[in-house]
Amino acid sequence: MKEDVISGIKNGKEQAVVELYNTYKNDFIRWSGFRYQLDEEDALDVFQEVVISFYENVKKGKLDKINYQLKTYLFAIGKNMIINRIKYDQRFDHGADPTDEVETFNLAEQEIEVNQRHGVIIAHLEKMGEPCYSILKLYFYDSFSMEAIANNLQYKNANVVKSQKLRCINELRKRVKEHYGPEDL
Amino acid sequence: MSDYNIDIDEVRDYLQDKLSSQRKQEIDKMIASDPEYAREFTQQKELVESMTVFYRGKLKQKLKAEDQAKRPKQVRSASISKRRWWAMAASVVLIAVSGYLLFFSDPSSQELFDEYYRPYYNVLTSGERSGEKTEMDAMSLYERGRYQEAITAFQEEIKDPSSQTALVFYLGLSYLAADQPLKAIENIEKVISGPASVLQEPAQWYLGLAYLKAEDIENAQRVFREIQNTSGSYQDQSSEILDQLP
Repeated sequence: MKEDVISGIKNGKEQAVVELYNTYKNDFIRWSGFRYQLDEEDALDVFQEVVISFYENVKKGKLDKINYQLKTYLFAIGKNMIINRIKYDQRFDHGADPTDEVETFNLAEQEIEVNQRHGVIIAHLEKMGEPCYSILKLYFYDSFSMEAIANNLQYKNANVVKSQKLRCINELRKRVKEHYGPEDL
Repeated sequence: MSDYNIDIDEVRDYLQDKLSSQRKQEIDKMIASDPEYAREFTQQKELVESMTVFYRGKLKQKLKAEDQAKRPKQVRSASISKRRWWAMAASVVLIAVSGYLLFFSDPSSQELFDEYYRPYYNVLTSGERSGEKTEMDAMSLYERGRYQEAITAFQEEIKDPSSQTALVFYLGLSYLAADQPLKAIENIEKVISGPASVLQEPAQWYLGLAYLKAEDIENAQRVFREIQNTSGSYQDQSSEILDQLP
């Protein structure tokens, strides 16, 4: 199954990751409930992040070969995510050091600025239909080459995809620019 | 914006650690020494990062939909049983009102809601992590599907609804997910009548769904017709719903 899932994801079959999720999610709910007292909703939320992280690592070529069982690998990522989540929650439950709070606040100020702009870009991405939705996904999220995108979406060749991708990016930039005005972007 | 013509493909490679260390050092040096270059690089970087967040959100929605797929079936079977009960009752009292039965052959507004409703992902992502506990918790609770707790956290956080429309939007969505459509409508309408924002389009879509959930067909039709007359991303789905409403 391990090789099938990895090659499926690499070939752009998103369904492979959905099947992976469905195969192990119930085991993960039981395991995380027993080990970390996670309720079902939190367990599913963590496991979705686990599977997405796996998907992204395969896409980036970081997981061509795994030396352990797929389930062991996924649960190990899950364990780290749960521990981080518990630490994150505890940090606020017990109150942070006041010095830390100032630092966090300053950092957060930068984050807010950045993330509000992310929100605007995302809202415009949501409005973009095909072929931009698929081309931008395959190129920027799935790390496909132009040739692979041409194959996947049945374009004549990589150059056609390249031109279309440029049009999509320019259109996205234009929409975001209109939102902010010329001075801001 | 194009003084430097920073190549967005190179920015993608920079973020994915695919550049040579020499090229990466050159870019880092430019970012550190030239504010204009740094500004343009940041803008390109935001585009690439936003695409990652967007498509990751879509994948997460897809996985969540796998879990929710079971729920509509349960609702559907309950609704079907209800229909059968009505049909039996009608036959017992010999009231052959064919138009009435025909009415019940349309999907109910609840069934349509179940079919089309998907939680809207968090476009604010870590941007809400302002260091203020309640706000962060509210979005975090929303993302984890703990809507009743999210409602309480949002209520604590919202001091001025007119300037915190994003949080009012997610408060409305939390009410909708927690089966309180009237309160959802009240809050989502505040977003729509508030200052222009990118959340107004999804707000209108969820307003239509909230009316469906509240079984207020007349208002649902009104909202979906308004969406149908735009060229937004919910146009097709609104037309599909209108076709199925009585």
